Amino acid sequence: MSKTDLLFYLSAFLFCSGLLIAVTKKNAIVVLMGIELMLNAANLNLVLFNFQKKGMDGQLFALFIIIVAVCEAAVGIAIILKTYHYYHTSVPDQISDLKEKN
Amino acid sequence: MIAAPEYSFSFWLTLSVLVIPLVASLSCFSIKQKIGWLAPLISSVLLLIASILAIVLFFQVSNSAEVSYSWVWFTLNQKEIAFSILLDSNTSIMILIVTVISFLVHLFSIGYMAEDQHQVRYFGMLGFFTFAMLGLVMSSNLLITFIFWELVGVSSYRLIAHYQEKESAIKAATKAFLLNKIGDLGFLIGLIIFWSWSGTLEIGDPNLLRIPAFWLTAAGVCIFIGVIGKSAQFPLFNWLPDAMEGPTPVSALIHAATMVAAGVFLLMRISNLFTEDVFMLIAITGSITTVAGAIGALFQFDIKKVLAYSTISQLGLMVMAMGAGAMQGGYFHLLHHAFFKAGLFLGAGAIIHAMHQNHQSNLDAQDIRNLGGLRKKLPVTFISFAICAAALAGIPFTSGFVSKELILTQMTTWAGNEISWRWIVMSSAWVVTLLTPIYTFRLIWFIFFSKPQHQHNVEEAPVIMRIPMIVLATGSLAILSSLSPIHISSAINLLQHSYPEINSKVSLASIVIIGIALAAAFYIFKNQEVKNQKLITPHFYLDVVSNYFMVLTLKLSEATKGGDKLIDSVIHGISYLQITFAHITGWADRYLVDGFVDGIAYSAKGVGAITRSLANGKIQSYLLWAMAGLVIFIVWILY
Repeated sequence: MSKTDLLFYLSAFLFCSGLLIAVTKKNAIVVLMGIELMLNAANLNLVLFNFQKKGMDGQLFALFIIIVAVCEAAVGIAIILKTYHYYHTSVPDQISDLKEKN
Repeated sequence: MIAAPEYSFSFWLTLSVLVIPLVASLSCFSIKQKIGWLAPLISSVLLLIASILAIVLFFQVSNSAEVSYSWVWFTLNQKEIAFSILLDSNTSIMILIVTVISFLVHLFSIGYMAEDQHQVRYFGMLGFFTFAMLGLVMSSNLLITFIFWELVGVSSYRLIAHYQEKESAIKAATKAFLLNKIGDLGFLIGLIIFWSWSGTLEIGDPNLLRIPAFWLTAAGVCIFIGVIGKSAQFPLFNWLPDAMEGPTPVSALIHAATMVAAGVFLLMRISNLFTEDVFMLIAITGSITTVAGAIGALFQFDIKKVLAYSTISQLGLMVMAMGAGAMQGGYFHLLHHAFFKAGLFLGAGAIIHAMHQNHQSNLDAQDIRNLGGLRKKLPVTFISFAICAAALAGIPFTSGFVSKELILTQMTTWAGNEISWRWIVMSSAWVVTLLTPIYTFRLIWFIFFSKPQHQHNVEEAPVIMRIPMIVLATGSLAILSSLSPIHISSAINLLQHSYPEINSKVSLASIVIIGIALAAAFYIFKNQEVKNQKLITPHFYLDVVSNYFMVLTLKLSEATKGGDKLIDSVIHGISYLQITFAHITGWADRYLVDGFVDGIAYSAKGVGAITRSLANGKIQSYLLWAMAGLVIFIVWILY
């Protein structure tokens, strides 16, 4: 098992744990953190794939994604803050406006 | 038939001739009882106007060509039924005869019915009778003809039963009605056959002839059955003598112009629709009728019944002539017969009236054995009666001779030289020629010549009753229709037909036969006292036939009742079946079809619920499902 393969496993682990956090955690901020973890896993994958061929495009891609993810996280936190103001909670389970009205 | 676009003078003439008797009838019916004496005057004046218009119309039509009009009454399955009128010279002369005789009968009735309680009803029905007959004559659509045909029957029924208090009158009217109905049924079936095969009932329509030969024959026979009923032919002629229960002027109208003439007229009108077989049937029926009627007339003692049987005999002669193809002869005889038979009945009416005025006894005034020696007491009646009777007997210089010559000549030509069934038919014409003078002579002799059994202090009828008799007697003279009494080709060209040459041998033979008959009658009746006359029941087989038909009708009605019940039960069963079936379908509808639909809806709902449960408003679960979808997508891509 080479070092790259181990890193692939790490990426998979990161993705899975990010998904787990995003799905199971109650607080919206923690969910956002889980999503960030999944993004990191994806970035790690991109960098690793770049090793297997010549060039820099994969790493640059990852760089762009990190920048976009920062913006996205900022937007996400802003949304969460707005939601908190509106609903007085940041627990997604307690917000059910997306569900059909009975 | 294409409707004439413009309504000409003759159209309005025709319409007014048709409508005026109806107006007369309606005004009689709507008149108040208090001024009921006005009814006879009104209707007589209206009928006079109608007959003058009819004379104008007759000359109008004989100058110009045929007149035909048509209005669509209703459309059935793109086939039209139209009120259509067709006037040719044959029709217009019939209209003339009907209106004139009806007018004369009206005039006579003013005197005859003067003391009747129900004058208003009587004159109303007379007008309606005339209207119905005129409609029948004018119409050229068989359905319309049939409607008027029935109207004629209804009005004759009402008039025969005029003396409602007499039970025999009611019975006679009912008998006339029922026997006519048998015939009418045949007529109706004939119409149905024509309608279902050709889809038209216009008499002039060539499509009527383009139906299968068998059905054409069947329809012809059926329509002829109608004629048998209406024109009192064998075997349905028994109603006519019974119809004598009505007032005598009504008998004159029925026998001359309206009721019985309708059948013979119809035969002439639709003669082009008959096949050879139908003609054979017509000729044979006519020959049986004419002989039976003549024999019946020989044995009657009731003056009106003698005349009734003679009418049957003469009608049989006409029908036989028409069946033998002697259309013109038969039709000519119908017209002549209308005049002299109306004259005879009015004469009989005058005699009865005079006897009743006498108030002398409770003698039966209609029994010729009670009459006698009236020649000097009733001279006008005697002369007019004798002239009409001479016409009936076919004595030269009278109209009856002329038309009988025509019939005999055409029959002789038709029978041919080879002996066949036609000879039997033809010989019956000769037998009737022999028998008619005998019973006519007997009638005249008993009424006017023989020694009276009782003293009668009778007086001549009033002028208003004498005028119609004189007019009709004049009309019975040969001079009116033919200048020469023997040779018909010199006839005033009334009917615009070319007549066949009269065989002088036939004329001679018939004159000889009539002479022999008169001589024999004179010899038989001269010395015979009336009381010596044996009382022969004259009905012989007639009543048997009648009873047979009554029983048959009853049995038929029983059978139809049974059939009705059968049909009823079948319909009942069918409806039960239908209801059961409906229940089954209802159940299937409710539980199978509805259930199926419900099931689909339910499953859709279930699927919807499942799908909807995914959208539970929880972002994390959306995320999870999105991931799951991604995984499935990737797996699908990779493998």
